[in-house]
Amino acid sequence: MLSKLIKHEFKSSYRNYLPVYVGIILVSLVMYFGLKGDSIETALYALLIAVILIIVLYVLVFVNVMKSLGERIFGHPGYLLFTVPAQTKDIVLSRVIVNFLWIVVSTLIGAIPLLLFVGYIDQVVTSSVGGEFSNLLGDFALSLIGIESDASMFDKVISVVLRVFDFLQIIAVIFIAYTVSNTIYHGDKKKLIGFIIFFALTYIVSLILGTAFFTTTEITTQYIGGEAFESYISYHTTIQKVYVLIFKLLVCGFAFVGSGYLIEKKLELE
Amino acid sequence: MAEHLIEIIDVSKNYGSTQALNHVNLQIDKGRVVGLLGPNGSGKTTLIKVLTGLLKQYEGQILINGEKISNRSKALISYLPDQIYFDKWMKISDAVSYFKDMYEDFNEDRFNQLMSSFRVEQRSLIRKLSKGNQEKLQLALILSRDAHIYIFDEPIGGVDPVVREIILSTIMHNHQPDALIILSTHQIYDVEELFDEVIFLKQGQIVLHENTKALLKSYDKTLLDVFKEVFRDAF
Repeated sequence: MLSKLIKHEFKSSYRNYLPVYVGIILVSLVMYFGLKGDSIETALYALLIAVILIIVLYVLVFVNVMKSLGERIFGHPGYLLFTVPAQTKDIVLSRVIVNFLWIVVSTLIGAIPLLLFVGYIDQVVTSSVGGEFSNLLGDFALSLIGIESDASMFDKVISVVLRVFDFLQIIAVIFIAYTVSNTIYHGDKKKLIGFIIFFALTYIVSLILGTAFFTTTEITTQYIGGEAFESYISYHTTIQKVYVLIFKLLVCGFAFVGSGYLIEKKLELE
Repeated sequence: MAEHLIEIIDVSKNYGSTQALNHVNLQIDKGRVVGLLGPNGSGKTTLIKVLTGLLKQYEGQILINGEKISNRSKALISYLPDQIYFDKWMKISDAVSYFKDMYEDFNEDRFNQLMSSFRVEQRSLIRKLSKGNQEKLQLALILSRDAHIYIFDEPIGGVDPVVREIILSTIMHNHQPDALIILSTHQIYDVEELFDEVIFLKQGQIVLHENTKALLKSYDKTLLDVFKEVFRDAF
């Protein structure tokens, strides 16, 4: 039954993603092949386009995940979903798996304009200064998926796993927020309440993860044009990454099991 | 098979301060056609939603074929809700594919026959069908299952007399012989010959549950007149 639920969840969601993916790839290619010259302004235009595309993509992902875990479970389609002979855990799992895969694919698609931008900068820098700058940007691109090039293998692995849990955490918090607003809360403003719970939980989680137990903060001084600038740098040591991973594992476990429990025991489809 | 196909034991359900179901007790057996009758707001839809597992916060106990509500009990029930439940993106073929995948007892040949008899216009997207045809499509899907229990929530609400007759005739001629049919409605005229037994629900309570023939004989009135008499002070 799980595979069938996954199949139909893909069928109901792919239309929301594929046209945007095609659009992003096309705009990215036009940007890459269309930008000429080696001025700062041209580079900034390329970066601006890449950033806008990534923002558009993530807003779309966010809205689609909310729809999948909100109105398409607790709205009218819920009549179809909750009368099929499926176990609640399969229903929950199917939504988590499909939304997780969409976030992963969207992240890969979102990396295309960024990588093309890196490629563009690489061309510019190689032709003027040399290749060193582009290596730094390559490291930056790797850091987007949580990998630092000089880190140990254990650190790299745990960083990638952490990024996976970043994605799962988004789904988990949206899921529990909408489940609570549709099962425990009995008023009319379910969407608003779901939204408030989502932001409150996200804020609480980020507050906890910002404590010294999970995050190391250092003050660094940078010299730009002869002037000193102080800035705060926050990072996780390897052991802190393990703590963060355990914490995110607990958050996701609590949210998914809690959502399943509430649907199983407290479902109130209107 | 359990003694009763559906057993409802002392079930109560509140929406805030409103009591939708008030200590409901019922036993319903297989092979019966049961009319669940009552005015709007009497608790019919709530009772049906509890039976189908769409409402889980209630007191009391429900047994479907001797078991608590679960995915196994849901496999026995074919349920037509009082609203359209298709996703906006769905085509007719998607709905059929969904039912084929989710229900082992779905009969596609019967679905095609029913759709032909309903003369639903061939549009791919369900949302582009008229509301009446969307309801017919939903009915065809529900009746194309070889289920043990069919539950219809207001299938004839808001439709014209011709469609009403088509719907009722289709329901009566397209179910499994041993199946239990529960049909909820607040429109009582011309339905008394359909039901083996009737349940009158009033303000969340069962006020009458009787064999239809025995009821009409004892009152010496039509079902509509009996309904009016029982519910005279309910409006």
